[in-house]
Amino acid sequence: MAKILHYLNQFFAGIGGEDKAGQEFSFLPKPVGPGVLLSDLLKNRDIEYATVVCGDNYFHENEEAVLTKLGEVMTRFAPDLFIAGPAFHAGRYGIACAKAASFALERSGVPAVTGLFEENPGTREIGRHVLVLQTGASTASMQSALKRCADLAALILNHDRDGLEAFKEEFCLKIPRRFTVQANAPDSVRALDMLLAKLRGSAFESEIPRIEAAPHPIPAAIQDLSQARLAMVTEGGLVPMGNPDRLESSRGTKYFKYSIKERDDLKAGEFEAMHTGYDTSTVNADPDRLIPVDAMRRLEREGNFARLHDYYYVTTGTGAMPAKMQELGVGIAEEIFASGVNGVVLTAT
Amino acid sequence: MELELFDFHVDDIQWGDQSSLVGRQFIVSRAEIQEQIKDLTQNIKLTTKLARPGESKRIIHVLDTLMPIAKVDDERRTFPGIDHPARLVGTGRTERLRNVLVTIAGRFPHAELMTPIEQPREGLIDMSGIGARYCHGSDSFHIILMLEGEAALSNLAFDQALRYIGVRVARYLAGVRKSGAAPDTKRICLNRIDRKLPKVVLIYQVQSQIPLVRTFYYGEEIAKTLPSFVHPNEFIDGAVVSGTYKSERKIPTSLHCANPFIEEMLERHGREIDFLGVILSRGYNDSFEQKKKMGLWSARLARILGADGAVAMMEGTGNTTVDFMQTIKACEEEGIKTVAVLHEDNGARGYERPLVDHPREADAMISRGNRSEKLSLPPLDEVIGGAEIDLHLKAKHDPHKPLFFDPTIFFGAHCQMGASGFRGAYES
Amino acid sequence: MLITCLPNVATQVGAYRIMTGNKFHYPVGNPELSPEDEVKWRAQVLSAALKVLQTPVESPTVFEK
Repeated sequence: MAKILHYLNQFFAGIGGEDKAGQEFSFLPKPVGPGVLLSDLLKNRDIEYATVVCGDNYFHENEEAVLTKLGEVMTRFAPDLFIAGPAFHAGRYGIACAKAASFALERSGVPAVTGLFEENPGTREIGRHVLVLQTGASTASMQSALKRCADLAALILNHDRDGLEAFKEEFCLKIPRRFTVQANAPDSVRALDMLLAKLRGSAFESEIPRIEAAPHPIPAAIQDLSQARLAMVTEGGLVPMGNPDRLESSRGTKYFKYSIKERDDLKAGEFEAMHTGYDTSTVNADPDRLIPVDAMRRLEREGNFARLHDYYYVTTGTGAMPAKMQELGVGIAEEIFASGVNGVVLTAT
Repeated sequence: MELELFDFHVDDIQWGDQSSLVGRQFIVSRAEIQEQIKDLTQNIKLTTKLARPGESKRIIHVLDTLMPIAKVDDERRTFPGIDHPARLVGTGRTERLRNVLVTIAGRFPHAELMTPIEQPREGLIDMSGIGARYCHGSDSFHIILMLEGEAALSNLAFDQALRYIGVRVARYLAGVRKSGAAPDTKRICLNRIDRKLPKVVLIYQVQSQIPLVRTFYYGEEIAKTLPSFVHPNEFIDGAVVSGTYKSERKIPTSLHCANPFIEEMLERHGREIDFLGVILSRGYNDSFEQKKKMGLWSARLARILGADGAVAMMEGTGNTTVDFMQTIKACEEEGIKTVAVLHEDNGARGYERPLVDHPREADAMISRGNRSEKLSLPPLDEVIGGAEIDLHLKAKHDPHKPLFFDPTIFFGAHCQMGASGFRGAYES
Repeated sequence: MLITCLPNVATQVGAYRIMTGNKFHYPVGNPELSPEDEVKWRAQVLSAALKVLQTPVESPTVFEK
């Protein structure tokens, strides 16, 4: 007897559309929606089938709580296989499916499968070893997607390694990412071997590729600075004394804005830097050394630019992943732009 | 400069009345250890425990590990300059207990007075299970000294005390009476080679910035120093001692004195390479210009030594990668072919750019694996050293409960991931 | 524009207008100067930063102070 747990959103569970995207997480001890067809395709096997349902909005607004509840279900139900979706081209659903499937595999070691169209943003949230069935963009391909899903489920439940490899090759999305694998010798041995090859002029393959960052549009230069409104941003972790919003001292997960309205400079004792990546004592003694309010006020008074924005923005860099920082940067940029700011001075430690 | 090295191996370790090595049985006396360090433990509460490879034990709050090493029939001492006037080491005879570690665990008395950059990082040693391959020391027998500093002790005083305690106990244990024990013997010497073999240096970049984040050479902080030539025998005799507590990214003292890169290069000396020695350099310089200069000086030293090639490795992560890459760049520009060893930070999902800095010149990289990949870590039967672990200042965790975390929670993870043969690679 | 002590990292990440800061621990600080001189110095640095904001660029560019 094998147990399958299937994750669906409010739409595919037949509860409702966008209006029901706030649907709370629930468990149903039976197949629902596409699960009905899937369990039928697997009817020659002895399967106990259950479903978890969660509205797409609810998932994104309560991710940690939802995954905790999912963890509890995983422990109670103890499935042999976890399936999420398929989500086709639906972005929020695809991300939720990817996160749920990754969580299931990572925490419980249970094989996890989802189905996504190759452009679904959920492909960026896929954990290692999660299998992603390649689907079409529209739900019109549901039948064929589920048939494939049933084939994949059978291979997994049969522990058919070779069949699984062949299936992956043909029907699963290739999402190349870098993970840890086992080499044939320790780094010290491989380093000497590579150096000897390099010195001999023999071919060798560097183990870490150089990766260019994706370029983005070049912001135009400010034509008339005297009319411009400017803001300051930093990743140096400068916060009001006491760190009221609990900014982390490494890998910031949020950004905050703090008022410099009517301030001519920042004083020691009123601000402090939360950051493990640099010696913060000098900035703590004079926070203008990181967020240069005194200098900018001087230049503002002299008419170099029109106005200094009432807030500075802050997060904590050190140890941070570029993708997260990019997300925060976009958030800051959107807020700043909406406030009528024309230019930004960023200070980094 | 020749060093005769005697490596003893043990098969088991037990508490007993008198410390001695009988065959491959190591008996350790708690009372004798306490006596050795009684003047150092005035304001420190000391608890001692043992751990063996394969045991279901998790040691937490690990600050440093030291290999027992001692000079034989010699007035000089290993770990020169730390707790006594320095004398040159790297010659004569040295004994080691090769698979034994003195493990210092504990927490500073006044963490609340530290700025974020001074804070030690949590470091675990798992003696078995998944974590064992990610932490330094799971293959050794541990004498664990758990130190709890009383309020009267300042952080700096605790820092000094734990270092003195470590070297003194390590020296003492290496020098115990040995009977029926047959060590492996080696003569370590960078003898002249007649054949034309490629001349190779090891570039060894350490972290040493501020108190509580330091590395010592003959007992002096390697702060604002120029890169210098160090003979491998000096490393073996404990001339380089760790004083940083950034657990996963540090080179533990035991790894300074038994470094796999140095050992590999000594092993190949005379057969495949002409090993010239080690260039000890320092990362985390304060400005880009200073980082660049450190690189220039290291490359110039390598060239003056006559190096054809260099293997480079570093301690730390983040901005020190820039110092490291400036060194690689400068070496290549001086005509020295370089291979650089580094960990990757590809993120939990494997999408991120692997390195903080990666210039064109760094075209021969050796990877230590993706240190941001999360691991599912079940609890082990026994936790040694405390009741709660610190998830890098973000949260606390009960070490008896399952933990889902990346290798940065493990002591010496960067070095050990490399030693375990982990590397990064694309996977679909 | 970005004031940083790691201009090479900034160019690799794709920042377009970059100026080198003073020291890693205080990009727009100069504690060796007297307080009055330090503010003057900082105003000069930011003045240069403002010029950078007005300069067209084609690719990631590091501007000298």
